[in-house]
Amino acid sequence: MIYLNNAATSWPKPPEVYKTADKVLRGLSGGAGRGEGALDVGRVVFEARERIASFFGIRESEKLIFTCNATVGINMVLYGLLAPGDHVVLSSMEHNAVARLLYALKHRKGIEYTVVPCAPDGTLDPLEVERALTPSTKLICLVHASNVSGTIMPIEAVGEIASKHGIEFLVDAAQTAGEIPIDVEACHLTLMAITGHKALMGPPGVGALYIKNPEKITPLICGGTGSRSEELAQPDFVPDKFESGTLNTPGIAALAAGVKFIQKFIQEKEIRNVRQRVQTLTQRLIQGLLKYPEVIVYGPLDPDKRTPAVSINIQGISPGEAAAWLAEKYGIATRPGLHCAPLAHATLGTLSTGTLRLSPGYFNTEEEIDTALYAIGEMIGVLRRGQRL
Amino acid sequence: MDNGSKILLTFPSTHYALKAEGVVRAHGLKGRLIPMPRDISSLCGLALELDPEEGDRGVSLLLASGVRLEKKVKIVKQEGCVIWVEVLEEYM
Repeated sequence: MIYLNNAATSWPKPPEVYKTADKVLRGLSGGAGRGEGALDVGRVVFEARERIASFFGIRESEKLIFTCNATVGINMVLYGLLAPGDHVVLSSMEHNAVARLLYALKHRKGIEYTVVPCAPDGTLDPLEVERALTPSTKLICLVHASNVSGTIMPIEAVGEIASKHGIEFLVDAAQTAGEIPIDVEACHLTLMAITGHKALMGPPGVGALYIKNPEKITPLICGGTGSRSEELAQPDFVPDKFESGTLNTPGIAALAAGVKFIQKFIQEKEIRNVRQRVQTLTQRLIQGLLKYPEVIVYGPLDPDKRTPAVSINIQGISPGEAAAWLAEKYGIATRPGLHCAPLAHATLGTLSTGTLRLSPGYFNTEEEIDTALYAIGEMIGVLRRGQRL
Repeated sequence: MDNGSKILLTFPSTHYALKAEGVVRAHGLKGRLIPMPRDISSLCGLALELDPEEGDRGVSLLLASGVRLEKKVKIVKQEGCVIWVEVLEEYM
């Protein structure tokens, strides 16, 4: 199989990720802070938290909360921060992780929000965000890069705006964490939701949430934390305030192994991140696709302005049919459809059709990209001849 | 068998206990984490055990490193059992 669906879930993982999950699951017992074996488990969680926090420039690692994924982290923020009458600003490229939640909160809690329109390639003018602020704006919510078009958003500029106005700034870094360097302090992020199963190369079911001002967020989930157990009140200190219930220790350890792999790669290859490698593959893919007049590539063409999530449409065939043909005939895994982001598709003009998304990852090769391009070329040839696929 | 007096530091959470261990060891102190003795607290969790002469320095290092402390306790052990407990300081 040629796997070009890394924007959904990266695959394969570095061998260390598999080994770590297995080692922790077999070798360690108990839960952190919960009885015999707890110390070793606690150490695993602590070391993972320290490693992942430092990866994002987070000085106080206890402010990095382990979650199931980015969606859960975003829910924790929006449910825990917003009160009736509060206003939120978001972009028109947001994933349903944000868009559906705000729609629900509008009806359930009377939260107001403004969707700032982006350009047809998904780019956002930060000044439009500033213009959308109202006296009731409590939060700016911005995806770091679109999961549909790959468009990278100007989080540094928006972070400065949020900081200037004293507004909380949540970045959904699901698509970028592990690929694009993020320093929460330099970008003025007060909140950041990440997931482990994409460019951080960890398993599904583990993610994290950075909360700079934990006193502002009410915990969405309360329960056992292994601390202050004699008190019925939820602890007010982090990470315990937001980490009720036994943690996914094998997943957390495996996620830390994924981050370690990236850090090792950076060190050994003397480049800043894994991005350079994936960018080369993405550029090769886009340049190859642009040779076919039947192919529309969405989002910026400049690899510096985008992630490897490459969305296309091919004239004469639906994304679903194209994906099925690539999978059946060539064993190429892609993802067709709306990618849980109808706002983004409305911005790109693809809401009625969806797109076919090809997303290279660290473990893809140039030969695999060339095979995918050859396969798409063959598909277009069949369509040109008016034959049935 | 442990005998004599020790200083125990307690923390609001496992995270701070583990962080504390790393901080004191990085500065050459011989701190070690132990399960919270029931004579000290009904709380679940861990305590950092220090030699008495390293107690004050340990506390200073931890506070400077942003570790949240709960209590500083002096204990005396005889044949492995805690026979004396004295709370020296409460931080929360």
